[in-house]
Amino acid sequence: MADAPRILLDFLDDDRSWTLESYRKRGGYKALEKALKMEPVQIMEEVKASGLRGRGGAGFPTGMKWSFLAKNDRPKYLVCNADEGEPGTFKDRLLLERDPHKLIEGMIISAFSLGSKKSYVYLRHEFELGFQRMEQAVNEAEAAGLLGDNILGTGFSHHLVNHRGAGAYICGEETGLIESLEGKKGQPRNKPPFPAIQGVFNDPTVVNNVESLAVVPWLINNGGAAYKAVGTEKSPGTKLFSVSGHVKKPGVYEVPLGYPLMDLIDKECGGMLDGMSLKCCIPGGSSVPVLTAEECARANLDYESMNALGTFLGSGGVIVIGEGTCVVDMLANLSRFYAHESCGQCTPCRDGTNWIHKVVDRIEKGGGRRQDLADLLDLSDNIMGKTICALGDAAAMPVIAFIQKYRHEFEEHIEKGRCPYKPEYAVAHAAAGR
Amino acid sequence: MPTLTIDGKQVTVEAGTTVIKAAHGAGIDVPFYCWHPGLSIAGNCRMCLVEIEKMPKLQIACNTVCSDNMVVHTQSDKVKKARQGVQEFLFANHPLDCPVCDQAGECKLQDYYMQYDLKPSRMVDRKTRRVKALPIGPYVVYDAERCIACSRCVRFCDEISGSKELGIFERGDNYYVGLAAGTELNNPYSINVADICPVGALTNRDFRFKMRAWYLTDHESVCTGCSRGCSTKLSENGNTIYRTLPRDNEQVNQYWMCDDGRFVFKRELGPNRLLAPSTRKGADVRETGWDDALDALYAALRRTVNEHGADAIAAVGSNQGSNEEIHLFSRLFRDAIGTRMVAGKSDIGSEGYQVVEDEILIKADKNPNTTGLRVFGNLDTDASALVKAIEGGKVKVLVVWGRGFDRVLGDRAPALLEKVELVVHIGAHEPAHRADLVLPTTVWAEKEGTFTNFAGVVQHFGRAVRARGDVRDEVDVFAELLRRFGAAAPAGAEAAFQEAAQKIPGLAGLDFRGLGETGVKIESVPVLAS
Repeated sequence: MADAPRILLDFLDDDRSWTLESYRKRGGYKALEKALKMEPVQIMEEVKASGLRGRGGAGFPTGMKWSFLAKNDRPKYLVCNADEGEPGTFKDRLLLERDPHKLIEGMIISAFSLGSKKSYVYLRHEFELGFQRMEQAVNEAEAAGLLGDNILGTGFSHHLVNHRGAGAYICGEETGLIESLEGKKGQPRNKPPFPAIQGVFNDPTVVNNVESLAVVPWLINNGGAAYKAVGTEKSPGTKLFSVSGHVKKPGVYEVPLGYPLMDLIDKECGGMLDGMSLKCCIPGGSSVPVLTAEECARANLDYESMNALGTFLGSGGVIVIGEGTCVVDMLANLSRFYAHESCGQCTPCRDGTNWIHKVVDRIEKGGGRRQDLADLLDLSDNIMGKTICALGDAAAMPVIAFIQKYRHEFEEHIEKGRCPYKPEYAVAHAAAGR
Repeated sequence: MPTLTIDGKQVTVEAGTTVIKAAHGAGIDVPFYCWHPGLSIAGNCRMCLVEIEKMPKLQIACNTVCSDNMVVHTQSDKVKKARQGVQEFLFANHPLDCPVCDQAGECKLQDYYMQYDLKPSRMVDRKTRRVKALPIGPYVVYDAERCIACSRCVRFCDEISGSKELGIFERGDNYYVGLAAGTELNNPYSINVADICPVGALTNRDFRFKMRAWYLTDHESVCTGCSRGCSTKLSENGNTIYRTLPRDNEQVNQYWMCDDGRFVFKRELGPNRLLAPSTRKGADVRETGWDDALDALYAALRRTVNEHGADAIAAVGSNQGSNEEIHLFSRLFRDAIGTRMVAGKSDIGSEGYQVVEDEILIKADKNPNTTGLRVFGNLDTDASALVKAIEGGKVKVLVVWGRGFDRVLGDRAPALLEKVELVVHIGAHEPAHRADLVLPTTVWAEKEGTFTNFAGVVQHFGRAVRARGDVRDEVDVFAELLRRFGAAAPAGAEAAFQEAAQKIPGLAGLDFRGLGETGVKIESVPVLAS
């Protein structure tokens, strides 16, 4: 790991890393000075050359997303998606709280390239500290002439607004975010039209993840090619991974893409908790299919390797699960989350997620029926690919993966009429007279 | 003009047409809940998912624009399974209270279950409970358990009535349609949300629990509430009308009608109906047969013409009357009798209406056929010459057709009518003024005919109910009198219309049976005198 560049986590040794002073010491806003002397299209070319892929979860090439922005006379908007709500993911939070200027610099450079005079940072409601740090950083940047009118005397003006959400997972979906930003109920839009054509206030809009935008200053300083040299051929660069679960040192780690999953667990995170062995791992945030311990041993942390294993790199939220954990209980927890967070707009997600939760919860509590597993798989299939946004898929994928890979545990619940991992359920079950 | 293939059928459509419209236009059924031709696209019900070649996922037909060489499948196994899935999801928390639901029998959930699902429910868990039977306005009641969150009602209030009372509140399956703070659903078009609700979530409080839908027969009609003349249907069972629904008519009312218009049948068919011809002297009312009544009227008219000349007879026409009636009324008094003292008038005024006129549908003229008075009868709506003649004592016989002549004369009515020897009332309702001879007639729902709306659209309306009592259609009354004056007269509304269409240049080419369901617009609509 020593040879990989610290592109994002270069601030860890500084105890006041969120200040402009600290950021300047680390070379902050040099990239902005350089970028404002470049042609906007050159900046986009650097981003394209870097091969940077969207860090929000979908992994869509950032430069290509920029190039889709409608070329017309309408105002253009840049929106930073800081509604980091994917369970198991907390990397953007770290950037917002500890290095807000990196994001702001990245946004100004991106906005200059996109021809945008106004940008919004849509912050997850719960990020109280992140919001305060962002507000402070915006004020500092404005006072220093780095943001606002006539930036660094170049004539380029850009204004940035921090906007707080109201606590809905669905507002991390980019069109749900845009609706919420516009003051409406956060519900995803039907696509097309895509935000690049009709986004905020129906004007052309680019929505990028915090991590994606925070990479931009480094790309300008070092060139896209230098970024492309890190990681793998198709998954260039480094990525932040939020590791949680049964490891000794959970936290946010920056590693080059292609890094072995077991190295992340064993080296960076210090291995599993004492006396615990790995049961399974959700590698990319709660929505992606789970990997068994055997699959984890073969897994590399890049988009292609993950796809080859039938899962996704997603947001890089690595949830490490030790033996002794009940996967049915986990799925019941996850399905409750998706049922609660479904915006309720479209039928399969609204009614399907709730139905799935009711069934999984019943299995966990000992009321499972043999037919339930086939029903769950069929209900998931009836949701997958049939909804307005990806929340439906996100809710259905874990169900399918958990049942496929741990069917015997579900069957054990059903046969015994209780959760084998939690003896107290047997007592509750008997008390309920069922 | 892209050409695409839907289920093997080649279809060419206008650029920008959506797949659902193209399919429907080609006679291919694509089911839907949330889509409505008069509202914006929501794409939330997912019932219209279709398979489009070269697209990895199923696409919603309502939000997919047709492109050249597109190949669409609406009957593939994938599509069928998706529809079945959506149906099952919609039923997951549905209360299945069809036996007490007004929508039963005309419910999309029921229809599509039979067409696309037909599976027993797999739902064994507790259903999500939500609010039931909540009145949300004077005319509409809401049941959240039946609601499928299609948002048609919300979009209607946002986009059509513009009143924006409704929203879908909460998230996931806790959703419900709610009112904006401090409002209730009391806009002048509120009942439309019950019409467009594809399920039994929003129902019409006036119609509630009155009649099962499958016992009702819908009769094609036209609203007589104002000069818009919305295309309607009257739902009838056992000779009783239970409700009024709008019919789709792009050139008149699109898909909507106002709340007031829905209750016109109650006013017209309800109280104050005349049930038999009568002669009256003050409070002394004597019922007569029709032959006697017509004989008496003919004798009085003939005698007056002979003794005082035709202008001693004055006649007042009604813009609540049909084109055919107006035509024969005009022929009788103008041509056969030859009086110049003929006027049309506004039968119903806009006094007392909450909304006199708006930019949506409601017109200030609360009568369906003011244009017809001009076009079919060449009747000036200005009655001042006639009133002046009455004042001068020159009018001996006054024939008033319809209500509202009092409204034209105001306070002077009793005194003015004293100057007339014989006041004849032809109409369906008890007159407000003195009448010596009363000839009771049918209202529009009891007969067939045509109206010409403010914009010149001539629409046909059919009979919904049989009239009670010994009453006659005006067409028959006027025709009978014409015959007594020795003139040929057509029998029935159709013949009367055909005759008018031949005689009156502005109507050339119009055919009673050719008006279709949505009517025909006449080319030049004369400007009406106020």
